[in-house]
Amino acid sequence: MKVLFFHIVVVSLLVGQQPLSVSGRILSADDESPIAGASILVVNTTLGTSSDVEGKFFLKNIPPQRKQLQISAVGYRTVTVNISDIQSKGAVIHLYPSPVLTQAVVVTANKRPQSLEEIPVSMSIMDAQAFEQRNTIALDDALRYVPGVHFQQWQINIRASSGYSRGVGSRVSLLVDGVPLLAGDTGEIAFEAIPVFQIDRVEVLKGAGSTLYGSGALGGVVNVLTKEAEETPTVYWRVFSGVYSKPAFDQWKWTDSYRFFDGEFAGFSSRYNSLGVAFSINRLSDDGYRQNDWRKKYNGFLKLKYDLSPYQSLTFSSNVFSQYRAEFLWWKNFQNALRPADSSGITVTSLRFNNSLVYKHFVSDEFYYDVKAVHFRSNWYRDAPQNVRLDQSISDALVVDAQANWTLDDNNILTFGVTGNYNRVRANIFGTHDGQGTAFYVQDEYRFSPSLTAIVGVRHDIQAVRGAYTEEQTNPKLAVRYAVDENNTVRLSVGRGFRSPSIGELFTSTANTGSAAIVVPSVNLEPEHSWTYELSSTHVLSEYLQFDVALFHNDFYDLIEPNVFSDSLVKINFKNITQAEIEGFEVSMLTKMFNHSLSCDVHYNYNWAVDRNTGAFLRFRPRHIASVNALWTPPFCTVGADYRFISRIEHIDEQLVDLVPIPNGRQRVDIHVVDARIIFDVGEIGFPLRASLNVNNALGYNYNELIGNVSPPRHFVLSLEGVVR
Amino acid sequence: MRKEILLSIVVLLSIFSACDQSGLNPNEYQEPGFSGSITVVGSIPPRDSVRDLRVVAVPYYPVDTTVADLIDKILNKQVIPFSESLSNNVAPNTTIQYQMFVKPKTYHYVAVAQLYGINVFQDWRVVGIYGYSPSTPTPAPVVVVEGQMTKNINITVNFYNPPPQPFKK
Repeated sequence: MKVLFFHIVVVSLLVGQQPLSVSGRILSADDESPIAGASILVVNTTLGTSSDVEGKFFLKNIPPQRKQLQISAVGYRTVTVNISDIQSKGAVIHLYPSPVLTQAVVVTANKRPQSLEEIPVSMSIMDAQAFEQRNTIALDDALRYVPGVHFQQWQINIRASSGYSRGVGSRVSLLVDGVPLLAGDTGEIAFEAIPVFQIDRVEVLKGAGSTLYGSGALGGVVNVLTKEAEETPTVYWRVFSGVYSKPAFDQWKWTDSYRFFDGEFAGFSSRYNSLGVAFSINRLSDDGYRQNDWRKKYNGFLKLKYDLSPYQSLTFSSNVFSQYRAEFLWWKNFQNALRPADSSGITVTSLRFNNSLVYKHFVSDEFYYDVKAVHFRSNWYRDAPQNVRLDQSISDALVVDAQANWTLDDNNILTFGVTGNYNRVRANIFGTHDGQGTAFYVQDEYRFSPSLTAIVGVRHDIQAVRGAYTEEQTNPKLAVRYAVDENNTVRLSVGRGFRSPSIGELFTSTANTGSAAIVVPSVNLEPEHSWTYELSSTHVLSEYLQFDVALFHNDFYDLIEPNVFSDSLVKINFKNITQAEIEGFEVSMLTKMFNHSLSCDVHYNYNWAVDRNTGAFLRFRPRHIASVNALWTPPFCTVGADYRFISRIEHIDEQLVDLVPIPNGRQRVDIHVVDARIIFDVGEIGFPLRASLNVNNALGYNYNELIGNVSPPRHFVLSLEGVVR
Repeated sequence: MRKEILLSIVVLLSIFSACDQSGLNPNEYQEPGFSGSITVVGSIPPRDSVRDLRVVAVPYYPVDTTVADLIDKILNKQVIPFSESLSNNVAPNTTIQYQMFVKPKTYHYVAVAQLYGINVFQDWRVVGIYGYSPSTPTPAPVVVVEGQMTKNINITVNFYNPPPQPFKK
């Protein structure tokens, strides 16, 4: 009898130690509709998954001592549930719609997962649905609708922090899954290299972020989070084809034929025991609406996540991007706005790839760390006809980052880490150069009470470029969040940001490359830096209405700007020429109506950007940015429309226009753009197909984001996509 | 209901197509520049002494400069625009209409230059300046703004009593 009892105890203990499995379905509490793409995380482990189109999920190998799941989805309130509870309830989990995105889980603000409502700074997020519905082909197309964001063609500008410098330097840092992805030569963001079809969400942090992200995060941070592998084998596909309207004016006609673009995407995702696999390929071909403005691009993406244990994971990601395009710098003149100034047929070939490895380890409930390493190679060539090579650049950027999060007690979380970077460039226009840097950072997040949280952090960077500079930068940050009550939150933050000059800005020399204007080296450049002050608040007035308000003030020092001058020839260099002050406010109203089937978001951003030396409004900055995004979701279809307004750029670089020259380069107008779409989803009746029609620039409004460059006219895109499981 | 939807679509399409020519519009664009007349007073030199006659617009006061320097700025750096040749229209007591398309900026010295010899890099002199008269010897500036033609930039030319020359000897 004793033996039998002993066996029962042992078996019970063993059974008790068996890994748990849990499956279930996530539904909207509103109408019992399934929620696709919800994130399900086992608290304090690396384990997680996302729900499928029917809202179903399955998780296994959960350590028995793990008790809770955290479930979040954009547009719904995040919930934490006990595993034992959902097993007893048949694992149907209801999420309650939030009028806004405050409940979404984000990772960029403090380098750890937390609810958007907990963070003490302004942040916007765009989820995968926003990309899919807009049939987004390039990341920058979608980011144009983020409040406070403005583009000069491909160059991002958050809250007027950036002007325009063609192809060199960015005051916004781009991260992919938390690791930086800036070109080693020019320091610019290669938006076209981002695999948009694999995006789970994008987080846009506004204001200086150098305390955690170092150089480049002067005006903000864009963090692209890619999708995790599906639990069961899943194939995704999408094909699309589009056509541009003919030019609005006879003078602008340069061809009698319609101009088309088309592309395909195919991806596979599955989990095999401890290994999650996701890979995809896509192709795009675009005739271009302007003469000599065509492009072809290819992209391959692979993500492997191996769970070494429930507490350790290793993730390898690889992204390869190839593009072959014609070069259209600016128009011939205003009467020939769709013809290039230079019709010699120059082409640009790019081959970029980045590989990253991330190891994550939950050592205990209180402590976890991760180590990230990324290598980004960027090759590009600029060729004239008959294979005459004009410019070429091969650059490598290597970043290694080790970060730890330590929960000292229930109210105190410490985040700290060390990072190193190395850049190497070999180019005819930049020369052969290398640079390196190292930094350490520490940040303490302390909760004084359930309603009051403060964050203090600092990062010290040492950056050097051989033959140019060695600089040390210390960037502190203080942020406070106070929840007045459940529906009203106030945030205050102060932080410093900096950006070291890129190798492109330091060493570009186009004296021998036949360029229109000669760029000369600027080896004496100093890093630019800024202080950001922000007071913001969120007010949830009801389940259907929310207001966000942010007041911001930025002081910029030693801003690096292009400087056009003329001695015997027209020349451009870069100089630390501007002390600037940028302040303004941002207001957002987010609403949901008719049982959440209709949503409408309205955003407005005012910027007062002044050069302290001259008192003039800064060049290439808009004063007003506004957008309205409406989405209606009746059964089986979605109807959406976006409107954005950007006031006429008040000041441009007049010298650039005159000396390069860009004929009629002063022509610019207010921007009014409407993008509309209708999407039919027949997945709910068992046929895995979604068809959508997008009409972009539906008003056919003629505008230019960048001087001498007319933006795309009205264009129609038809796309079909499906998911097969 | 179908009728309303159809009507909405028709209205939307009408609005969309009506907007096609809004925003940037090359038809409404006026190339910036200035125009006016050149009045020749007094007698005119022999034909072979007026080999060329052009209006030049200098964005600064060309004080103590050389002809070669101005020619360099005209031909190589393209910072000094000039009109088409007006020499064929020169006759005693005539008024010549002219028009120049230039970059929008302030031109502090707008003058009529005469090529009097065979050396096109050297044999130039100023025979009229906008805003100049013996009683008001300071040239008047010409302001050109984007999308506008500045009118009535009238210049008097007197070949035998030219204004002060800006050139070094």
